[in-house]
Amino acid sequence: MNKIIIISMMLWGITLSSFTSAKEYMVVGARPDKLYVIDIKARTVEKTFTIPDSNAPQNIVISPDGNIAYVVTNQLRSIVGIELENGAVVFRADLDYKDDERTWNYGIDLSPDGSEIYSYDIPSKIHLDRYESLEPRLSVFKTDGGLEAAPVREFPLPRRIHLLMTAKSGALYAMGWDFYKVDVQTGKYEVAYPLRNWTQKNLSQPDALAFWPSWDNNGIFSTPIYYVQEDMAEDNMERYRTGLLSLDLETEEFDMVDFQGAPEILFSSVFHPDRKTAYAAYNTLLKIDLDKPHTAKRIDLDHTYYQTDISADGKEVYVGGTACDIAIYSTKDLSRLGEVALPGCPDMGATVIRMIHK
Amino acid sequence: MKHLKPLNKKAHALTNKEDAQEVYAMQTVVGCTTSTDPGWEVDPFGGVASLCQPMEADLYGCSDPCWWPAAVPDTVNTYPDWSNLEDTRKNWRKLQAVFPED
Amino acid sequence: MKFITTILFLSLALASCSEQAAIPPNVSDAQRLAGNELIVDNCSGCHLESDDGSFSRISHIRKTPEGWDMNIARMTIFHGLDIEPQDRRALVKFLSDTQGLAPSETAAHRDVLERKHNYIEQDVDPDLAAMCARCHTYARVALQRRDKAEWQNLVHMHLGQWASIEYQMLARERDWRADALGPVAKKLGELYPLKTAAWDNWQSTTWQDMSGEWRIVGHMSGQGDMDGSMKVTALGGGKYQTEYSLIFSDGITIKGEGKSIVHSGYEWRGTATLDGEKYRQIWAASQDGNRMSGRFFSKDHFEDGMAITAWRKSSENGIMSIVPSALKAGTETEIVISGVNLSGDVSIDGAEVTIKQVSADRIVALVKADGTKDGQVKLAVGEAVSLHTTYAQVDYLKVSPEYGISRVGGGGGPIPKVKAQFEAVGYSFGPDGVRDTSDDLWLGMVPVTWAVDNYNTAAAAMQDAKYAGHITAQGTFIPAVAGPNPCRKYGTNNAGDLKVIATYTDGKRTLTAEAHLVATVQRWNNPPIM
Repeated sequence: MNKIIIISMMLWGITLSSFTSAKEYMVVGARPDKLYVIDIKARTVEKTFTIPDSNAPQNIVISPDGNIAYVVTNQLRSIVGIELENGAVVFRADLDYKDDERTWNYGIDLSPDGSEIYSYDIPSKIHLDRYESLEPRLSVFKTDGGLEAAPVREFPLPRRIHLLMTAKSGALYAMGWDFYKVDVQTGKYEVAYPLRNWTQKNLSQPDALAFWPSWDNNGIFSTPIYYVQEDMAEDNMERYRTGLLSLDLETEEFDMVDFQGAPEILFSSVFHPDRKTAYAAYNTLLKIDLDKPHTAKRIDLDHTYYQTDISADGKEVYVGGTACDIAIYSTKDLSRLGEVALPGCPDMGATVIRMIHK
Repeated sequence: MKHLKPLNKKAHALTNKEDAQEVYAMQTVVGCTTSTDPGWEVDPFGGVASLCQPMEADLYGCSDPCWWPAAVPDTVNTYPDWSNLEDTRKNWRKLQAVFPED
Repeated sequence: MKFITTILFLSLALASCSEQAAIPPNVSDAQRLAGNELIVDNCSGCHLESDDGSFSRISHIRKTPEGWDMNIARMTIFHGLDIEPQDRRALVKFLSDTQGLAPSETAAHRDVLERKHNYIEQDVDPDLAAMCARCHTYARVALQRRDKAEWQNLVHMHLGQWASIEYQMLARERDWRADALGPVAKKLGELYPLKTAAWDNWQSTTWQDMSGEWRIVGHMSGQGDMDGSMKVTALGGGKYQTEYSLIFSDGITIKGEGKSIVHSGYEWRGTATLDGEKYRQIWAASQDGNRMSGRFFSKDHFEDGMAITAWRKSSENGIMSIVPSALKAGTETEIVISGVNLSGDVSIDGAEVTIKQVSADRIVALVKADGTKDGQVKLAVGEAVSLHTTYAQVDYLKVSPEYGISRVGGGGGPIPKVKAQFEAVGYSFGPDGVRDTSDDLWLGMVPVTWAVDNYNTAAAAMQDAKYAGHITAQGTFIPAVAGPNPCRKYGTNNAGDLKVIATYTDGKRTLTAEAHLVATVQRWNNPPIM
């Protein structure tokens, strides 16, 4: 693992230096229909936009140039592109593009060049007197498709996928029962990392339900993952293990480190850009040492938060989602550095944080 | 699963060692895995300490992606207009029950 | 098409006339036509009528009255059905009468139907529990009858309505959709098929008129007992006017009146106003229509209620209940024997009996067991005989329920608190002097003092016992108010993980027993079958 870290640090070092020369913003949604651009270092909301047909924004992805936010809206049924300069709606794809469909998005990402949107869709056909659950699909839209974008390609994908992410190479990774690698041209997919049938010795099938993208400032996806060390005594609470599963989006290498025993719910994690530590949150915020994997520090949060994210300089860890505040902590010692309260205190719910540099 | 609570008690108790007699491995329910959602009313460990704190912080994280629809109205399909409160921690008193009595 | 249906009904009517001229059918032809018209008017926009007079989906399902009501509610919420309240009630009545469940088909799940609080469903197939009962009661499933294809339609509805159903805990570990549409739908079709001999036979019995004078007894967990009378007057169409006079064990008599309806020939559903408070009844009648049992509970606090038994005075005789449940040797105790058509001498083996009041319904007596018998003894009122219990001392206690749930509420919000009621039950070791053996004697409710404490170290760290609520002298746990509490860690709700402790004192001896109470948060979706 160390070797991988060093290589990816070198590669990301280049990117990071370019990040630090630009100004850093956080983009986040809130109920019922708001999209905020936050000057995170100044702790101020700089811009507020209205998302069409929204009662609760969900997933968000930002174009590589940082100009357009693609937001899942309309009760998971549509994706809209909103210009972060002026709030203009420049893109819209309705996912129920076939007759009598009710279709939900459960994962979204962009191609590395920003020209295509990948949407994981779960359709049902609504007949006059019954429903018919259909097979899920990957719908591919062109980002220049305008306000009535139609898919340019569509492929079947396995059920129960909950997170999409594109690697630098353009390969699409989809996390579900297993981690799949998808060829976005042919729709062919293969198991890139087995979860349902993983081969970790003496470990039960793991449980990991990741919804939160926290790779903007570190180039690596990570999530807490839970499993049972089956060769430990049944009355030993240490047998309930927590690890961090990660996928380096540059090298496309997976890794899994076990960092603590005993049950503790954690919803999301984020790696420090230096890949030496990681942070995870739910009711607590953890600093996790990745060299000798263990929980180096744990603090109680002031309420539940879903998502963790980190500043490009690696100094600040952010926790958001749930209520209307983003809390800011020092990556060094988890001391509180500040917060951003969204104006009017609208709940973020299950929407996500994205980090951009402009 | 001999003791199934009539509410959605999600899994068996998994608490501290002192409560070992209460402990069923969570995965025994379905045979093969661990499960780590906080439940709506009882957490995966059989208590309430690992529920979202406070519940109001989690309300829309449940209702918007339709998480515990038997207890919390889902705003995806079933009750899209159930609530458009700002700051649920302050305004929770405005939340109404949904089953329509005649 | 309506014409065809009418002809069909007429020919059916003619057939039944020629075979069973004397007995009117449980559902008359006029009622069938009216019910059919209600379905045509309210449902046939989507549920198409076939040439055989059946309607798509609707005609292929059987349910309880609550199940049909939830179905209609679902149509209003999901699909914008606009239905008048009287039509909704009439449809529930018609569908329950023509496509209901037989008494034997609801027997195993009446506790859930009766909205009994803190009831734990037992012996549910673990796979069906993980599939269905992770979100709602298993009873909600087991109180429906469909063939496999209709169970599959129900699975499709779940997949098309609830976006995250495949992602939730106990679902994501499996191929939920494949399992639900495959083996689970098959198993449900076998366990709970549309056509059953039980329902056919029940429909062919004569459903009884419930009007008349009734004797009624009940027990309120932790609180005491009730006995009284109920007068039922038929209003037609399975509807009844009711009058009540109920005596509670604290000596208070409460009178009231209400309205009831009987669905499916035995499903008694009532509302009553007693002393200004509104109550509901979910009872089931026996096949001969002479007995009913079920639950009588507060409209606004369904957890407040009593288990009741009712006997028709004109048809029954005998002892219905004896309060208290057991006699302590050497102590003079006032007992109430409730029953129907009681007459003759009152005697209890091994006890001295002094009658205070006597009527055909109710005998009040002072009783002193002499201690020569410890165990079950014969209690007789003339020819009516029952078993009663005498004991030397309470040897151990149990708290019922062992696991309870309460919910925060109130605090200015519209969702009321949901209380949790506990009762301490005494036991004697019985002749073998050993606990938890088959000869142990159940002594019924015993007086105790109540306390709550933190369930474990995690609860202690959160100071749950301090914040979550308090327990009354009657064993009622009153949860604290809803809403975030800024005084608590995380500013969290007044939820808590508690143990409930009962302490019984008899001279210098004390006995204790505990139960687990999860004092949790509100729910916003409270349909009749949870």
